[in-house]
Amino acid sequence: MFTDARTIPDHTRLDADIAVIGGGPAGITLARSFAGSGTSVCVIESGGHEADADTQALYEGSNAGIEYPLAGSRLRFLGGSSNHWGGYCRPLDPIDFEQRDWVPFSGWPFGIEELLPYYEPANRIVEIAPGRFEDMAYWQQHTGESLPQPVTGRMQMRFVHFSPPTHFGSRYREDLDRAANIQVLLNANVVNIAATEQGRSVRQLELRTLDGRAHTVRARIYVLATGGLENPRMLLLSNDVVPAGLGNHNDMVGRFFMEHPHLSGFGEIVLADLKRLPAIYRERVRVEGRNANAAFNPSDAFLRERRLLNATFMAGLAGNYHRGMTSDWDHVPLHMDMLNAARPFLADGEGPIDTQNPELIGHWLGLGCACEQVPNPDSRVTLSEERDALGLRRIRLDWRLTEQDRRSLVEHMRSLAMEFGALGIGRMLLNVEDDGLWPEKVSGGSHHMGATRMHDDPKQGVVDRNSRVHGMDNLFVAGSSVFPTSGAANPTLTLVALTLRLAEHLKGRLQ
Amino acid sequence: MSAGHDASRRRFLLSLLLGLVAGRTLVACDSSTESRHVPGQAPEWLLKITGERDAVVRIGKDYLEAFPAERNVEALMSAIESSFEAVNAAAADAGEIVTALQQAVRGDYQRGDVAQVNGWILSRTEARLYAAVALLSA
Repeated sequence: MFTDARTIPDHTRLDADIAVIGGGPAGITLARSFAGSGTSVCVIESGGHEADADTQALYEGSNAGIEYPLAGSRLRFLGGSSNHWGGYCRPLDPIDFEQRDWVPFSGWPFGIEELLPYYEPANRIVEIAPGRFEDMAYWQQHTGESLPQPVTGRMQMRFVHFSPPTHFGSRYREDLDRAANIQVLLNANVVNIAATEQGRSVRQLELRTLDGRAHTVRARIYVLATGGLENPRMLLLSNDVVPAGLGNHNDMVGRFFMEHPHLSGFGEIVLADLKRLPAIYRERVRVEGRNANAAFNPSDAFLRERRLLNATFMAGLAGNYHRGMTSDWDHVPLHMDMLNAARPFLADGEGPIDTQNPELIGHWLGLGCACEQVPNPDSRVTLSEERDALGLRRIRLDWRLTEQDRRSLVEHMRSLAMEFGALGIGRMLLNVEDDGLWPEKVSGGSHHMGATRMHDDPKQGVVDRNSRVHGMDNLFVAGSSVFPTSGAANPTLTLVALTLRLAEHLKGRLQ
Repeated sequence: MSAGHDASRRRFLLSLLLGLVAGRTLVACDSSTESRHVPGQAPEWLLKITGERDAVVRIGKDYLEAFPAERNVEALMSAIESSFEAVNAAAADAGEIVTALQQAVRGDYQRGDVAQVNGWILSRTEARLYAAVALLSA
């Protein structure tokens, strides 16, 4: 059931077995895991069913590092940032979980086998099941096209599935409403996670509405699920007992913030003959009710050999070239020259590439990338001196990238060029200077990871392998902020799988 | 393989490149001189192995600007020859050479033997073909 916190008497106290702070993908997944059970769940959501400017403004903050849209990259109403999710889904790769000696601070407390049982139910939750992320034979059979395999040893093919996308708030609203044991408190902002005197347990949550009401929630277990940026902020803000903030005895909360650095326009590929590049390699293809697109990923062997970070590249048809074509874009003559010069390498025969369109000389592909960045303790979330409408210190983000991140990305771009050349598909133009500097146009993918990282050692992480905050017995964190490394897959599917794992752990604990 | 065979093939390649510079007409004319060692194959090779001449020359010039030490037709020819010989040492006629060069270019990409030319990541053999054409058209 839903309750608007602005409509209940001031200073109401609510009780539940589990209090979930945040009604986004993680919070809703956790709550739904208990639907119909004997466990009472209270979800505390800052927003309502729709976006609201005053609530959204609570996300504003300042940047100390790479410019980052702190309010624009997330949404603060039921469903959270799934409300503007692009729907990209792919599990992390096994290597992402490993401790790699060339990646500082890498390694999860467990391998991918620990998450595998949860990925398939997560696939169903984000409406992409069954997952066929590596099944080349399946896509070949269902697209009816021969899918070329990479030949350089540098890359491998993976298949990204697209969620509709699932907007968790609207998609699962009815489930939440129907479940007698779930109460969703809307328009309620947690302003303090109040700890016991020793700071070893959460005593209660202190809530405020934007119109000034104050409530409290008490539970046996508390789960912080407010997103990858807000999770560390909430821990840092909750400092009435532990001055550094909850779980922050070792100054780890907020550190290791990671994104998937995205570069727009870093390169283009020209190709003469579309028949050499199957549709699923350049566009979303619908098969058995779901959309998928091939992705080019570095192979494990290449990552190990060259000691590189993970990455994902996707290509999309962006334009066609015809003889005599002109344009203001200075890349057009470059593209056309390459198509004209390399024609014998890129197409069969000597006649028109397309007899129905004899002036056609080729096409160009735009490229997208999402890259892993090295976990970096200096890339961090802290609190600014500015305060929001609730009187809470705003977030301050210092997102940093390193030379290792940049070198890895450039190497993978070159690999992509080599793959297209080796397959006789196309030629790639790189627009990134290898000058030791990150291009100014680097951005993120609204993927907020790492700032409450998981590690068995309290000196190296904020939460343990079960997502429990080190040093606290009843506070857990859900979401991508617990990722120790980011891999190069969009985080939503994995955070849902991790949340299902957490739910199972909590069920065992509550028995 | 005999030294005479090598020399013949080198002249053949050079003649094809010279023909490329002048276009199809010159290729036909050229066959009366150097390319007589492989009669009738030059135009086919020429049309298959590189594309439109002006575009080839522009990219070739960019390569030479990036790698000025390679501004030497004989050296480029030798390197190109080595590339396709590595694929098919017995390639003698135009068709075989074209096929071997196409494989050599793919092989360059596969092995990572590439050069960055005005932003383009190009097979070294491919870039040298363009460069040779550019030099011969200067």
